[in-house]
Amino acid sequence: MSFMMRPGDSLTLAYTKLRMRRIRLAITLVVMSLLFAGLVFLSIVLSGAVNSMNDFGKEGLGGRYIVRATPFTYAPFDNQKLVDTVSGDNARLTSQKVALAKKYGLQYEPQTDQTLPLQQIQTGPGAADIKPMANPSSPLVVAALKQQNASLNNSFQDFSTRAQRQGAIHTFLSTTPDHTSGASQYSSLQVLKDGKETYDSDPSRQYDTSGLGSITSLGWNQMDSELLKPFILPGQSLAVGSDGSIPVTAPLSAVEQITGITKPGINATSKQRLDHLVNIRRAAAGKTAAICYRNAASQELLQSAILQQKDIEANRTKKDYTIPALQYNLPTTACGATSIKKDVRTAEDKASEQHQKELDAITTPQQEPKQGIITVRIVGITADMLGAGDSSLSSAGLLSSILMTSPGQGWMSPIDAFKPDSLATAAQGGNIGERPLDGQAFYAEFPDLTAAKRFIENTNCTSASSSGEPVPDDCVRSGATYTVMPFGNNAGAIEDTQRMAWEYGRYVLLAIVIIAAVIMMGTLGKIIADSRRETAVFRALGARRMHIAQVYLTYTVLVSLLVAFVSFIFGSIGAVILDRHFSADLSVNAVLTYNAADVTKQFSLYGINLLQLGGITGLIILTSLLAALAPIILNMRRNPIKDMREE
Amino acid sequence: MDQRHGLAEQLLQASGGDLAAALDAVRQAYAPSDGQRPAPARTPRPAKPLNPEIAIRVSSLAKRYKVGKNSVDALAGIDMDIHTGEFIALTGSSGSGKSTLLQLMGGLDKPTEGSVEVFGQQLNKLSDGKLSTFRNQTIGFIFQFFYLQPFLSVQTNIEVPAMFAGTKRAQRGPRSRELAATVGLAERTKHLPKELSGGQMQRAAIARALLNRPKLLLADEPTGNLDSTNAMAIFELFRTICDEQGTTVVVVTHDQQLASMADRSVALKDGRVI
Ligand SMILES: Nc1ncnc2c1ncn2[C@@H]1O[C@H](COP(=O)(O)OP(=O)(O)OP(=O)(O)O)[C@@H](O)[C@H]1O
Ligand SMILES: [Mg+2]
Repeated sequence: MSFMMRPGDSLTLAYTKLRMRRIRLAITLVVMSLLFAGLVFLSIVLSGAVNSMNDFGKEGLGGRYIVRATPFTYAPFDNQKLVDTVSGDNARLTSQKVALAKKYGLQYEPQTDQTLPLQQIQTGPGAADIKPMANPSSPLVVAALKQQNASLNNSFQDFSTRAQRQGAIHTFLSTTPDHTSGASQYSSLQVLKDGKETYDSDPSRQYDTSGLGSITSLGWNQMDSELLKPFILPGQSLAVGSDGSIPVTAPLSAVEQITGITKPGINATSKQRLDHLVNIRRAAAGKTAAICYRNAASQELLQSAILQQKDIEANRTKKDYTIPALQYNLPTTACGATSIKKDVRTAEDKASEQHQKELDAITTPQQEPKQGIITVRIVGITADMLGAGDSSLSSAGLLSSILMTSPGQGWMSPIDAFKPDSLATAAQGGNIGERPLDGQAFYAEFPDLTAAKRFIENTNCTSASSSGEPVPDDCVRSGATYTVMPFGNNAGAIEDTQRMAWEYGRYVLLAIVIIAAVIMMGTLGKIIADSRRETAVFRALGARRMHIAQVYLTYTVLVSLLVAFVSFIFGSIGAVILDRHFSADLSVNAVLTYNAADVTKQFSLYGINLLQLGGITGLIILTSLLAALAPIILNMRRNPIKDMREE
Repeated sequence: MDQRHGLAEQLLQASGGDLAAALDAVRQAYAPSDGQRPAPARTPRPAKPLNPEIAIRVSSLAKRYKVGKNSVDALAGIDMDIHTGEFIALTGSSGSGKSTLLQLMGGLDKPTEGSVEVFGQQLNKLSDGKLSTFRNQTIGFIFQFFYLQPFLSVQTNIEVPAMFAGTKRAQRGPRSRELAATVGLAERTKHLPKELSGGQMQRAAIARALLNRPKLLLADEPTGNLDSTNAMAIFELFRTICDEQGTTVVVVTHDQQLASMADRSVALKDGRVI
């Protein structure tokens, strides 16, 4: 007599149990499967995405090991050192302004002057809570901040040296729209539609992440042409055109507006979407567009002219209304200057205004209105930004969150296309080198994944900042004052995605296992606990305790495998539905993001990772065993006789 | 009340108290309707030479059940020897302790006092594992409600004890088919229990009990759920098994008529042999 039953026999006995208590078993199956189907669904969708990413990754920058770094910088806020640095200047400028105002007999209140380097900010309810803060628009603050940041030694030059020491074969530079200081933020860029400029100053427009308006929110960025090359449409070059046109990549939604090719509807077939993509790539290549640039002064003048016109319009019929002495004309041409319609100011008024200007100039450099059209030429199409488009769960958003690092987004032009002193360079807030560090991003290319990962490891600042210091001391000491991430699609990015998923996923997993185990105890556990008579009969027929355990363990595993199977069906159905819904859009976006040569390439959200599915099955078995353990042990130890009587 | 007793009483009344006529009528009532089986021999069975070997020795056996504060003396001191190859009918009114005694003989429960020795083996000295093996190899159990696995075929049901013995499928197949034939279920091996009649189910259960060639068969009211014809057939089967294999058989029954087919009847009352 053997200690264990033959596996086939315990399977036979366990299998017949599956046919008893069918309703309870069915409920168990459905509930468990729904719980675990979520995991299966995630596995399938993520595997599909990873496979597709690998597939698309062979395009564009995919085969290259590039990292993107953004330097840590001191923020103008909560920065006592900065306040201390500029406080002398602040006092000097304040007294200068007070004196000048007194001399000209102008009204001047330093407390309400928003151009002074230091602003008194109420940070709490009490009088003692008024604290001086640096004014990021003040040129003095900008300069002082630059000085302060220089102490971090994390300029592009520093970065390049560091990267090359660690084996980088190239380093590249780009601008980012993120910078928080400088006056250039008050200038404006507008892509003209049908050659017309609109004066619509709807504030919500500046948050448009799609369409032509996206140039405001995404910014117009400069990028090393080496990094732009992979996104260039066939036959296009990154050189400035003979007509002076600056090559640019633009988001798909903007290109649709420029070319006038409308996006296919939500119900369009993937064939229609791909046709659309083919069409738009053909139509967009080399197409020029006009961008109207207005500097801060021009923008301010235009805005006041618009306000004035509205004011006159509204009050024209009122009896005691007098039209302002200085009246403006709105520009007569797109992106034209705002001209003076009539000026009947008295000499006294003019002088007073001149004095006011002089007073302002002490803290704000006076700027002549400057505006003009910059001709750009579309050489590439980028995917739309996260959240752009019609549905809140947009495919682009989905893709971006899957990709984590998207190689190309928004409006980008090669750095070399910006000639010094050109309107385009002015529109960029000056030469790239003069740009604040928080408006720059650095790239380093490595020969292999290991080198890239090692560089990320010892250059990415991960320690938390202490005592309100914006840059952690550790990182300053080791010179790792950057946020570094993989750029483009490389294995590192995929691994990171999976690690991140695990980072949060394991808690979800634990919760699922606990919930599932509790439910299982009520269903599977109960079925086993209720099998007392059967146990008693088996015992009478000579079953050992081990045999009883073996039968119910086998039964538990069988149920688990069924749960795994049904979970797989449910999860698969979900994944197929998701894939159906997003695949076409995702494919279009992926083709754009990676500039795939084959536009018919599919981005699928359906992929089978046997290891993961096996792991989920293991987890289901584990959960069931957890739930079945107590009743199985109880069954093993029962006195067989009592249970036979119960029927 | 037992159906057959009712019938006998009715017939007794109908025949106006004539005992011989009444017995004849009873005999007719018991005759198998299909006429295939011969009517049981009514003559007292010729005394079999008693095998001197003791199959079961029950010594001062007592079993007390505790239910809350109360306790019930299900068995109150039983001494009994059963010889190898004997066919014993355990009788007695409901609650007299028949099932309890049978279960103690099968090592399914532990006595409060005294001991049970089966083929020289003191049952309460065996570990749980050894006892399981003992049950599996030496004892065959048969229950009133058959307790077949509802979703296993007749043949697989018969083979269940072999599963616990770890016997290979190829080895037990011929044995289970042979046993199915012995109990008259040769054509039914692929059927599920629910496709069988009550008598057929019990015959399948008997085949199951016989699978590992046990030396002792313990049956607790095996005919309690069967009509008279089937009950008779089952007892005949026991008789045959006992006579042909030398198997010791202990059967609990309420039915005196059936009990008379055994070599010996042992009656219990209030947990004692009377
Ligand atoms: N598990 C138990 N717990 C408490 N009392 C029990 C238990 N088993 C049996 N008894 C009691 O022991 C006595 C003998 O029971 P037993 O089942 O042996 O009788 P029986 O002769 O088989 O009766 P029946 O013919 O009705 O089956 C009865 O009074 C019964 O109530
Ligand atoms: Mg009983």
